[in-house]
Amino acid sequence: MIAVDLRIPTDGHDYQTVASIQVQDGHAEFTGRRELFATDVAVFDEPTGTRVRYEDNPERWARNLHTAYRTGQLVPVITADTDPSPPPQRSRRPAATIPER
Amino acid sequence: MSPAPSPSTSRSPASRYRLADDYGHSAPDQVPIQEVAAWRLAAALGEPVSRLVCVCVLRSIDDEPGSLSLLVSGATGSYEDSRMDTLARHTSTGAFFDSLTAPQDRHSGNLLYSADALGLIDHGFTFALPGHYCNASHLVQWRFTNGDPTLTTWERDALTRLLRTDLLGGLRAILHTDRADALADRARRMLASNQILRMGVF
Repeated sequence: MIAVDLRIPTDGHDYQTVASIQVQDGHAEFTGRRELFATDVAVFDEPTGTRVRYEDNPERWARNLHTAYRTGQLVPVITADTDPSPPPQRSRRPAATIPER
Repeated sequence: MSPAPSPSTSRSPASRYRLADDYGHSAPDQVPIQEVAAWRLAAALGEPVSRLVCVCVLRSIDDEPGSLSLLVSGATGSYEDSRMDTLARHTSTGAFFDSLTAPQDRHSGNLLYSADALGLIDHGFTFALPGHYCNASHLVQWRFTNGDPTLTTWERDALTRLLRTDLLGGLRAILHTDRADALADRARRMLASNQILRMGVF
């Protein structure tokens, strides 16, 4: 099972969860703004070096969302992952953003 | 701003650079530079392109090269065809900019929009070379299927200025030579064909 939040900066000082996905046994459940998940886009699976499509493997797709959302404007955060053999480090620090004056 | 809510543990160099390698960027330090180069190009070309790309500068983050950009206000995601139709003028302009700068992963999550504005984010994997992988190019695809790929007068003028002034020279100071050459070549091909380039044609 894996659960991933999508978070956006609220005022340049904090992040707010606007959508979530939880995948278990191949079944995905979305909460919040479902449309924020670009399920039509393949992501890069770092452990295997291959592309993964949502319809082929939603769990692995969700686990690698950080390879498709790379800015500080819309940030995927893994909140739960029961994968017994995850790669050593999957999280990353996104590009930073500052609010416009 | 506070750090991103994800753990900040560093990844191994191999893991960190693997995604860049996948997109054909063997020098990962170039990724934040390309973020900045995209903004500098947009700013130099002027409106309406400059309205689509937020200010971006280089910053050292945890002793690694990074980019810092202004926060784009407005909603994000789901920039589906109906939304593109509503913002057709902005979408067409974005497609022109993408055709010129060759981003390799322009999906809906890298498009921010509001009721009357569009913002393009994430230009790290851009300035691609011919033959490089293209994961998504939503705006270019829309312009070919729902809009008009023919260059506008402003777009032709912008490309001409890029090639005939020192605009390109400024970018050559920060881009790899082959990527700057490819940028100029795309501009020439667009002018010669009088239309934007198709998805993945770098």
